[in-house]
Amino acid sequence: MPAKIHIERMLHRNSIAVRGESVASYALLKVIPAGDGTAPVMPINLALVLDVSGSMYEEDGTGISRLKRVQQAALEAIPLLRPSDTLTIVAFAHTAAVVLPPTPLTQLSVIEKTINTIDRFEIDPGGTAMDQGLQLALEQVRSVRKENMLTHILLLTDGETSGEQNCRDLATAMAGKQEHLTLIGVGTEWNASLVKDLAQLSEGKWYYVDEEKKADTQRVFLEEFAHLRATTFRDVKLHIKPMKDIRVKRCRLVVPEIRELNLDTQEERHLIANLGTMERDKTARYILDLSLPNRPDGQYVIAQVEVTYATTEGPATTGPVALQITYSAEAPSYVNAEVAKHIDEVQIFELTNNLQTALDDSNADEAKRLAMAIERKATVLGPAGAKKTMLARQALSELNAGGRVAKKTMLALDDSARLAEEMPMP
Amino acid sequence: MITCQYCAHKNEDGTLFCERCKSDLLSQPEAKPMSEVMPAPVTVPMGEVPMAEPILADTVSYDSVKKDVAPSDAPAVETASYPPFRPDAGEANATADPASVPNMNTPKLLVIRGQKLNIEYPIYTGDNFIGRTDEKPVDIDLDDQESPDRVWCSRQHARIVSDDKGLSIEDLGSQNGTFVNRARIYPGQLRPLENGDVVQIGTVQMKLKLQ
Repeated sequence: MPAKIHIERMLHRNSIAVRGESVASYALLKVIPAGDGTAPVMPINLALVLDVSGSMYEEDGTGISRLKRVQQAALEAIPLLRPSDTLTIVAFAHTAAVVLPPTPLTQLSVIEKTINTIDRFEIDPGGTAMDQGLQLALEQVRSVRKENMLTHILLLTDGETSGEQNCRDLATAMAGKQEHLTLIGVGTEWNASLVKDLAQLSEGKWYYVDEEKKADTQRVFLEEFAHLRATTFRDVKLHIKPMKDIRVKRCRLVVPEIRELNLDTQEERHLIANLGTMERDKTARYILDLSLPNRPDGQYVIAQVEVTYATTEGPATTGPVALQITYSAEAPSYVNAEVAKHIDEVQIFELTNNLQTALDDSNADEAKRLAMAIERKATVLGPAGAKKTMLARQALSELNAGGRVAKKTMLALDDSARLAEEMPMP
Repeated sequence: MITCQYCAHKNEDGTLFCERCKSDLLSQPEAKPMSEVMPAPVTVPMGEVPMAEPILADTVSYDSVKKDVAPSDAPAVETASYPPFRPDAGEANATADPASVPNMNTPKLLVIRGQKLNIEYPIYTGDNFIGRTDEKPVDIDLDDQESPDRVWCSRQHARIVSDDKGLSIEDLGSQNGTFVNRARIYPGQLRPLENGDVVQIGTVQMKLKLQ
């Protein structure tokens, strides 16, 4: 069976009662890949963009420098790529340079040698020109890009950069063009708001590496390379066609991580969200925030949803699927627990964003209130919210002790808040 | 409108948390009947809608809600005078003919895991809806096959089609999925069934017997 995608959908309540003019409701969409894994492999056109600035030589008490840990992690992860894949490496510090032009994985020894000697290229370590690194990497991957290839840039940094606006412009230009960006921030000195912004702008993702944990770099590299290797669907798009008077307020990815998606209005009542790439065996879930008008009792289709995508065999679609709801003034139905759980997680994510803002504004009282709200909300999630609860308590105790939250605690909380704990499938 | 108690932002009815300050919005008129049914909500109120993914049920406790529908002792085929509700099709469709007399050749689903073991549900020509009778009847009612605190079967869960090509099954967008021999099947896909296939709906497992 060729690789395919299915949609499952459910509503927060199957039937609603509308007393005023309109009511807010929520729908959960599960976008489920299927197929037996025999789909032709999608070649990967990958660029590694690595920070080699002075701070990368710090050991953080692990006895081995950050750069060395990155080199080791890369050497371990690269064999996960296939002979049909291509790798480019760009190093940046004060300036940036292509240290490995696009090279097929068949030349593994050349690649390994380049990684082992990445600190010996003549790049002035005093400074961080991430924008130049990203620019060079984009030029390289674009020069070898072919139809049906997965084009991806993996950027690692541990510091602030010059040319922030350039970075944002480059990331924005990648969105919707099937040029994917993953950012890795090492330690606590990187510009978290920039990295998160770039992930948002490019419709990509970011990782946080705890610099004091020796194996954390390796963990993130292996995870990301495994994701790349399993990518089967490109150019995945969600089409939402709401019926008259029905408003789609927003669309959020909730699994594997929480992220709000841009909704482009293609034409009247036809919204499109770019879902990027999907792996062979990872279900993604989305929550739609809806506004439903008052209607007489009865059953209504509120929207058609459809997912279009491309595999190595060409474009395909799930076909349109109807979202239906029952209006019943007498008997609004019970809440769907699964949908409610994802909305709880979204709320924690949003509270965490507000907490970050309150901390940036040095508003300790508001920060305390938010940390308490996060803790309360995370507690009700039970085991699935254990890490969030623990980190919210940590933030709260730091606030009570000194009115501030350590950057490390905040990064860990940020990192945890966006991750939904995926429930195991039967 | 629901006015946020914390920041006074006005939110649309039904909103679960404040759009501006992200605080809980608890004063929803719709939430009232829920809190009456659910005296001590552990998390968000969870009603009789089944838990989404079966594995979780052992780790998360949730209050069960007494169902309005009285369980019947005889899980017979519904002999209702109106056709079963079918969510995905607008036009009327052929349904199981309750008048047809079961004979030796009627295929059956034998319960091999459930509250009442070894009960057989006959499958008639046409559409056989499987689920729990609530506001709409179903042909194969699994209401009393699941324990009340572990209800994973949806109201309209799946349908089995019996025609001259044989038997096949389709999931009807159920919350917890339909499985045939442990493999999940999806809405819109008719999966052919053979003698001895094990169908799982919610927590109930049934084996198909053609003779």
